[in-house]
Amino acid sequence: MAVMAEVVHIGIIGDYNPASPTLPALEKSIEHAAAALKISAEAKWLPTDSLVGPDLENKLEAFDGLWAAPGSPYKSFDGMLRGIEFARRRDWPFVGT
Amino acid sequence: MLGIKDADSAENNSGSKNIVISPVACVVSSRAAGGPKLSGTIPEIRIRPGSYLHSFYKKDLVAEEFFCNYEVNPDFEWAIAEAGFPIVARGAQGEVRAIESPRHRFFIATLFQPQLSSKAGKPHPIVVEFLRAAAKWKVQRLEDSVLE
Repeated sequence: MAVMAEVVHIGIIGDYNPASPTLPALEKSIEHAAAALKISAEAKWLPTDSLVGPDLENKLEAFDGLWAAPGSPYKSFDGMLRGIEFARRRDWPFVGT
Repeated sequence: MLGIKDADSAENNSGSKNIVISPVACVVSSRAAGGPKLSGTIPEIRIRPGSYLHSFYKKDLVAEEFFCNYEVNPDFEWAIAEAGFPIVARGAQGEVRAIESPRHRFFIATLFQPQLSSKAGKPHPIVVEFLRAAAKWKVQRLEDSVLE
């Protein structure tokens, strides 16, 4: 399937911190899974405070799957909830860890 | 999601009476010094047979890595299940450890951290299935847009 060769885009909803014991592993785990599936995947961090504006839907639609990252308290609890709500209402592939 | 207007997490100190997310009840004694109350490898996570999660693991009992201080308040389990999110993984004392939604194409939330046990050549089954679902959704969306 030629289409599968394209890059799968994953949006990670969360506030990246390289010192976190859980966050850098998240991107790595996507790489591990992509290699096993023989597909290309690209992950992009979406800071919680960037998800409170009216352009939220457009922003999240750009991704093929959304991952709600750990790391509370978040910069914006509301942004995190809105991101999850988008996945739930629009039926977007979602995982929350 | 639950239709509870002031639902909140204890972490936010909002004074809400509906604290759906409360501090971990059973502190792990073997955790690393200074780590969160629920951290490290927990060997006894029971996966509900018939769930999507079970079809990913193909096992009834799994070990998972945790790193957190909060969990689902057992008083609100009913509300989560009633909202359409069955509890598909439980700890040794029956604590909620993962929920999923049979109505969605892929919707799973875990208290544990699959990324912490993922390794090159040994990816975590939840991440693999999530990525597979995302790849499938990408193709489907593309086909839908061509038809429009």
